[in-house]
Amino acid sequence: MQSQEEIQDFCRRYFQAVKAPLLQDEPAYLQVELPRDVDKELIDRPWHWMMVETIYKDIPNTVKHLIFQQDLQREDMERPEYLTFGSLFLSKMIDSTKKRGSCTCGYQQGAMLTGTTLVPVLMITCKLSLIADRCRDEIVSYGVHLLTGEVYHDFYERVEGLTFTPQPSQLVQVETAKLSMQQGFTKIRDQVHSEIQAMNHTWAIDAQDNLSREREQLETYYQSLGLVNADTQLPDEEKAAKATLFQAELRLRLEELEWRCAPRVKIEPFQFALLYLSETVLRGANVSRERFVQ
Amino acid sequence: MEKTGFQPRIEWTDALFEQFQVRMETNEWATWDLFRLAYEAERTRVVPNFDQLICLQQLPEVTPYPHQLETAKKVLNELHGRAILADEVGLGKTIEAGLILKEYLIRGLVQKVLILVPSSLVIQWVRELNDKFKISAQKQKNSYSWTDYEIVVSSIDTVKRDPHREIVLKQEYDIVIVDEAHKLKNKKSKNYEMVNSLRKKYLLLLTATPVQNDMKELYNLITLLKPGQLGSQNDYSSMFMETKRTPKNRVELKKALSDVMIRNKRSEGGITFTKRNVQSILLDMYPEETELYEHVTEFIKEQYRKLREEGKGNFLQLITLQRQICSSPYAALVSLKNMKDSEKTPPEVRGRVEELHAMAEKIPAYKKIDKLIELLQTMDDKVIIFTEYRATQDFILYMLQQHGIRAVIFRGGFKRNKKDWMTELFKNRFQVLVATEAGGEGINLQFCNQLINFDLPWNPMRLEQRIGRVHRLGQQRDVHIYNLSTRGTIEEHIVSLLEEKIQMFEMVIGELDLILGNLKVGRKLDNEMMDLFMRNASRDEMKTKLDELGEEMVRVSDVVR
Repeated sequence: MQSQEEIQDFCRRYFQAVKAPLLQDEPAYLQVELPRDVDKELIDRPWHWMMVETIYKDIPNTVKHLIFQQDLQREDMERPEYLTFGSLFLSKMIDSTKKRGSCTCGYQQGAMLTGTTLVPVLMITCKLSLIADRCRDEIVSYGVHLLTGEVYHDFYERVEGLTFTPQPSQLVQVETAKLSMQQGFTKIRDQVHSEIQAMNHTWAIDAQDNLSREREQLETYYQSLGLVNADTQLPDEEKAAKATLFQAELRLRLEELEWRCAPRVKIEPFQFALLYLSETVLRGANVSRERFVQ
Repeated sequence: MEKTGFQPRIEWTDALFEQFQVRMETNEWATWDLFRLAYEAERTRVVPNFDQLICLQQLPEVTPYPHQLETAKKVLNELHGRAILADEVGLGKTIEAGLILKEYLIRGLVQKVLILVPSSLVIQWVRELNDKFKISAQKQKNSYSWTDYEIVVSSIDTVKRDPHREIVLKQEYDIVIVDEAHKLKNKKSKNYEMVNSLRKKYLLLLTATPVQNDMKELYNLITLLKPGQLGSQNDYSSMFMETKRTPKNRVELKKALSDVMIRNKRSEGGITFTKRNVQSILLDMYPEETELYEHVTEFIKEQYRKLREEGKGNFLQLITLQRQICSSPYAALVSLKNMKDSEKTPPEVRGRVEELHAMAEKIPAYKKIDKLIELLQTMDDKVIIFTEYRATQDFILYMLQQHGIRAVIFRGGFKRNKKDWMTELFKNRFQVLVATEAGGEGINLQFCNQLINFDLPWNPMRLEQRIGRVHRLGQQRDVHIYNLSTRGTIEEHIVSLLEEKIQMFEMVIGELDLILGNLKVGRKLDNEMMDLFMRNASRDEMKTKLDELGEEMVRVSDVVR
């Protein structure tokens, strides 16, 4: 979503998907009515709803005036909201989309498919993040053939342009999965793990070096505190109390360091789909491919 | 550890798979269109690189200065998220901290945030984060706030009190930001202990004066961030400290500091501030005022000598009275009345005090006030009047009202709400704001560009803080400063010291804080000036002393730079 047009387009598609009627749709302007369920997801006002739902039964839906150009002038706008990429409202729409669009099941459609057999594939899309005190992400997607157990890369790109419906067409045959979802998921996980192991981990080695350096610094520092403490003229009890205190502090600092700097790879699946596809889609899909992450 | 074999830990989040399996039972599915839209939505949340600032895409209304961007990047990429931001006053440390925080939030590296600031700045921080950075920060309200909100702004005084302390120490903060972090400089203080005990991942300490009186303060701040960065305390003292206040092995020190501290200076940046125009107005007091001034000064001198002879060291009351009589006879009147009514006043002095009080009461007109009114009548724009004393402030307000000039006041002890309200009133409705120093702390009044110093603080740092209220980033116009002082009084000398010797008004913003932060110049000035004055030093002697003081400051400023 780089441009204001793209943001407006996203909004338009979102409102259509959640069945929020677009009352007006013009360049740099959308007027939309928010059904109650959508309203609750986008505007954070639980008290309002508690009141409304105990006292009044019917109140009209909220109507929002969204503008995508800061100085847009119109006469019929009430409290227009200017949306940019950082807007809270847009951020809520993105959250809502992610929540509502996380799981799907569909059967491939198309005139060419008549008489063919559709096979079940479990697809997952994941955010793969390399994390230490800094981080970077990428999106990866995989499919697993639920008859053969074959795993495919970049699967989302392969199916993105296809059409799916909730029910299969009368003119195709549908195979039933032989592998359970759990088995399919495990196959993908195994694949992801072996790919991660083959990655270039320079970033993690650097992070680990930094971690070791900082750890050593902490340990040396607390060691010297300990030595100074042991050397003082204080009564033994006080010395012991101090030593315990230093130990506890060191432990806390080490935990914080680990938390902040330890390199790790986080994989967060954000979508699952059970798709029934023609075998032709799977043909040529690359199973084993080296992944390189900078 | 053999590097080639190194494998990072792998973490999966599995919640969604469980959800998917439930959906298999209930058969509730998103449409294919919505599914694709969700994929695109997720893509907007992906950060494709380690080292670029991505937050700017989401902050179209913020245009940071280059030094602020550089600072944010450096903290993220090189300092590993633990740093002292020590820019000179007015360069926008808050913006830098905001950028860093926003970047961490977008990247998902930070969720739980604690921001500790002086209580007078809480609202301002909350507002700035929400409005400028679209970060939903909340003001701490009660003991539930710590757990109810992800991002809390609070005063450090609140945090260290029970029951808050206990709750806060149980939290795990992804980032803690401390503004005015020089309040943590003392290792034995509750503030230090509190921040040290917090469980936190990233830590930003903001202060324009990492060293105020003692090089050890810097060591302490760095120990909060990265214990051991400058070695043990002994290593540090022997390696980097010439004396308490002067560093040695500068190059090495600078290098060691560069891993934990960033300090942008006015003189380096490409930032242009508007000009300062200064006009010092030397007034001749009315005869009655002169008479009172002389009598009061004579009285103070006598008392001062007596105290010295008796070896009693506390001259504070006398210094205050001397300064008040410079500020306005009215301010002195209040003090004299208190002395008159106080049981502590020795009987042999009481008569004199009563006499002086009667004399002060009879002053028919005040030169400074008349000049002030005259000045105000020529200005048709916003003006801030600063004074050191509440009594003077009350009196100015009263006299302005008498002349039909509408004014609001600021003073220490005002709750933040009240300050905000007063600022709004001043901005939108009133021409004049009358503030005492304490009232001016933490407020930004860039919409105003005229400032009148009704009296002058003896400590140049405090003067700089006054000016800093209006002359800062964001001020669009040149700033006009008027200093009122009266001939033949101690103030006349102060003005010349500030203006000629240290050229304080030509200094760039923020230079002074560093120079004076290193010296206890304020107290020194108070004491030395008082001493000279009381010993009836000649004008020349006084001038010589002032020259010396000025030179010392210049020397220090060279060292510090």
